Amino acid sequence: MKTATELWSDGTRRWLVVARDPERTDHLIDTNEYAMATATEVLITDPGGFEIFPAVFAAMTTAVDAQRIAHIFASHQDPDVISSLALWLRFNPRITCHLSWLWESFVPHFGGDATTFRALPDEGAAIVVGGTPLVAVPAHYLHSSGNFHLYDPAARLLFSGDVGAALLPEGAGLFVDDFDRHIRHAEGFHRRWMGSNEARRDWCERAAAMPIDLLCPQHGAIYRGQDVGRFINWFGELDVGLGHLRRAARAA
Amino acid sequence: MARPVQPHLSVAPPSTNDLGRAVEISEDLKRLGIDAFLMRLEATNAIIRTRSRGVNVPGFEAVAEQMGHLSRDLSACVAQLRVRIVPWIRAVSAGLSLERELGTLALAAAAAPHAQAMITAVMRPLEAERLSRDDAERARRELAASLDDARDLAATGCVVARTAKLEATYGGALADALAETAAAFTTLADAVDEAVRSIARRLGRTR
Repeated sequence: MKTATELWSDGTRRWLVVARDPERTDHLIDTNEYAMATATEVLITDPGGFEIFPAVFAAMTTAVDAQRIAHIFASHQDPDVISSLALWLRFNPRITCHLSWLWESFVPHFGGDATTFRALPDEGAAIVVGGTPLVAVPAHYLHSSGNFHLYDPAARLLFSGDVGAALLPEGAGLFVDDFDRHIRHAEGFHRRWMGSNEARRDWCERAAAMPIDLLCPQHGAIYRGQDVGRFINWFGELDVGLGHLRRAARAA
Repeated sequence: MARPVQPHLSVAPPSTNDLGRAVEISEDLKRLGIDAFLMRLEATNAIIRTRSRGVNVPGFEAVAEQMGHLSRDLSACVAQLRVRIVPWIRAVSAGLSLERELGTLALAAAAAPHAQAMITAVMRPLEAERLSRDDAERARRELAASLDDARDLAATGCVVARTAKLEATYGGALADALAETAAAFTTLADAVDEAVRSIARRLGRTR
């Protein structure tokens, strides 16, 4: 089963990650779910697919009260991100799901009604959870055309969705401990999944301007300390998207 | 480990087999619609042929006209069945979705004994909904009942086709051509009869 691990705390609120399910079946991609818990409200990011709900719920509720989950942040519309929405809503029908305006009428196919969704404009917006302001940061075309990351300025933590993701072998740790070895598992994913070099450059400029101690992707290991800057620099130089695909095909 | 909740059900919950049956019936209905159209075509053809050749075969003409009426009634009946299958598919889909949700919550209860009370409270109204849910069965019964008209038409079609065979023998110069048409009527009437029987079997209805 997945387990919940505390990533950051200031005594009044904390960030947790639910990750690494050794019982997960191979046909499902492994995912990381994050929670930001205040005394009154909890926000969870990309809560995952319907199939993994029991494992995520079991781990998450060892650390937070499911009925206090008042916000869900969906980085984009994929099933591994948000198809469990209907089940979370069973525990609190008043959950607000924050997501790109682009997916406001698509994601309701997974659950919720007109009151469930808060459409984020392309330029991003503030999300206040139990009095704590978080920032939805634009990350369009990385990989979804309507894509956001979530930044906590006080915790200096960036939930980065698919950016920074790595398809790691079994038994990999929760944190990146050897950047050069780790990044090999991220390269193919980023080259193919990320939409364009322009989108990549745009994100890297934003990310470099934000103080970040923890860069938390939806798949793979978490970058911390110096590895955050290493990742941004590495990604800043990576050829991605359709251009890369064409150049690689010509070179082959 | 928590006990997965499985209350007694008066009506079996819908299964993916029901959805499979609905898809097969939908295909049968499509074929029925095509057969009804072909029947009408054969009937029109036969009437035009006898009139254009000036052959006086009132018996065969009457039978062909009867086949034409029958095919129109069959088309209308198929159209009605195609409308009536929709609520059944909708109810089966909703039931399957509820079953999937209940199954996942039961797994969550097993994985999270610390949250057992909360999950049980969430499952309770869903289980009540499952117990009160008979709309799939009702829609299935309504569809099966409206199949009776199609069965009557199919049976009539077989009789009319046999009569056509007999009347074709009085066709004089057109006897061979009318025999061919009568044979086509028989083939189509048999196909319609078999398709209707197949739908009835899939719906679990015998008469």
